[in-house]
Amino acid sequence: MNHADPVLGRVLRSSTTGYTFGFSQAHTQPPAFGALVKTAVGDSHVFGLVYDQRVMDDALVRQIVASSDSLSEERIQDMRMRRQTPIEISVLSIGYEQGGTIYQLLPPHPPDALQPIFACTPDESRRVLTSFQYFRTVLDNMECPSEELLVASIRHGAGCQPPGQAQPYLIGAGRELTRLLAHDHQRLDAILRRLADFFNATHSLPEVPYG
Amino acid sequence: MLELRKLLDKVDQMSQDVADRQQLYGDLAQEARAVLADTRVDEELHAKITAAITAESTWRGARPLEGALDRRINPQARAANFSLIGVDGSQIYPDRHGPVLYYLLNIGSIVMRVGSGQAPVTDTRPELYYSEADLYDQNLNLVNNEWVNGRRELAEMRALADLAQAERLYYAGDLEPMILAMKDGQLTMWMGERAQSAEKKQQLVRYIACLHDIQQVGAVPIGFVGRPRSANVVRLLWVARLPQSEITRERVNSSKYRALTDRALFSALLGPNQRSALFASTGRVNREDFAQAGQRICFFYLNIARSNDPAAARIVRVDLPEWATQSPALIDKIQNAIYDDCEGTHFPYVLVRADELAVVSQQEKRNLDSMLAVSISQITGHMPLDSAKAMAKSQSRHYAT
Repeated sequence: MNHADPVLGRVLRSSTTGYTFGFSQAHTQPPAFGALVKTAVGDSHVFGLVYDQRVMDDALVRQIVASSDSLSEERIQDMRMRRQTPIEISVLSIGYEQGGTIYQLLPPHPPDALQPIFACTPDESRRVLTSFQYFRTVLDNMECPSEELLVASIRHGAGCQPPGQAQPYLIGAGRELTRLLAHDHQRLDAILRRLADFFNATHSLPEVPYG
Repeated sequence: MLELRKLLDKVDQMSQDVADRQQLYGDLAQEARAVLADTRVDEELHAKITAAITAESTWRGARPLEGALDRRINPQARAANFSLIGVDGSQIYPDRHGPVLYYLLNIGSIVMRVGSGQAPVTDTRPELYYSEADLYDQNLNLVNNEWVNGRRELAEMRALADLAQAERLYYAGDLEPMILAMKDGQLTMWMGERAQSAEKKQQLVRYIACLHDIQQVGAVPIGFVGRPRSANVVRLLWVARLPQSEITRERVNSSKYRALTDRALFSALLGPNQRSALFASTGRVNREDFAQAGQRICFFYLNIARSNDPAAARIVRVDLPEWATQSPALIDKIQNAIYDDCEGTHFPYVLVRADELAVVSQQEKRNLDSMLAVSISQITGHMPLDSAKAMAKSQSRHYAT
């Protein structure tokens, strides 16, 4: 992990399956739904998918919203960029790296409180999302919107592939999904339909923020 | 432990008393408003005010600065782009029973460039005071809360002056954009029990120097009093009723309206975004120290409510130096700027935010105490502790909640 990388925030609470961190970068957008982020646990790096973002409120925000017909742009910017109204981001752990090897398994230990969180580079995302064993981790998780998260993650993974490799990547992902959900056609159909449009447009993949 | 059942009778009596007084004050306020409308601002009135000051040097009345006492002014001019600076302070008082003797001032500030669309600039300035010179006065007594409040007030004004100077630099010295430097509370310094002490006088000189600094960069210092309890105008009305020959110390101090406030007087008079006439406080510190330094503070009352209903009036007091009142257009712009900034918060937004930035919670105080205790113990080998009294109280209160 490069110390020059911007810290997205720090861990508030964690468990083996995931963690929640407080986003602290006032001048940048939070990582997108399905983006891959990382944090250190001992001598390993734990990777996870962003699956929820909560913008918290407080009494002043509620008062202003309730009693002002029009809000000045300065107040809006103050609320968004200067006040310490927390943005909490939840992450599902899908794998870890130890000794140079990436394992698509739940990490042995959760990250400690206040551990810094970093965005993954496109190269890291490509390495971590190369295989599809983590699909089972996502599909089995009851706390996250698993179908939506898997679609977003596959799109990110495809967007990080070298030129011309996105379609083979998507085909591989589709095959793995078909194998995993052979007994659940409705769920498989829901995911594949969401991916179909993207599959047909892979010749002009969008730039993927945070890998 | 407060046993509420033992107060039931007293609560009933008090409620009746409050209701009776409200009726009485309502009648008195109506009478005072009639005096306000009937009193002419002329040489005779100014002579009575001078006589009242002569009879009672501490008389905190008001000297009118405009042609009629009951003026109601709707502002015309409005500034398009200007800066609002808000500053507020918070403190941790010296605690004899804490692990370490110190006090802390924390000044919160916000600079909002209205019309720019930019996020405001916010800052906090925490400062620890722990040396013997900080903690003890000339008689080697531990400084009290009032003394710390004076230091905080001075620090707030210094921060306002620094930010006003920086803000004028932001405009590259262009004097056109209005800059309002606002603090919570009156603009004159609270002198308290130590008014005549050398330290207090020194603080006052430095405080007034800050007002000069703000004036030099073409900014306007503002004191905003959200729920004024002052009665300067009411005292003026009492003196106005007296024949010149009866203005004695005893008569000045036996006002029929002594329970009334200016807020009660103006609440039925001013509509939304209407201000009263301008007045100057006749308080001694304003007359002698501020006025002689060219910084006499004057004030007007303003209704910041949005509704026309007199029952919903929100009367606030706005303090500003007399030199800032020479241009009617500038007063209009100040009035509009304050009224607009109160929208949604019923108090200037910049002061709400400055307070939020400055405030030191009990938990933060405990964290600072722990940090200090650990740091000291690493050097001395001994962990400083709360006094036995503080620890016993803390434990019993913990179990009580």
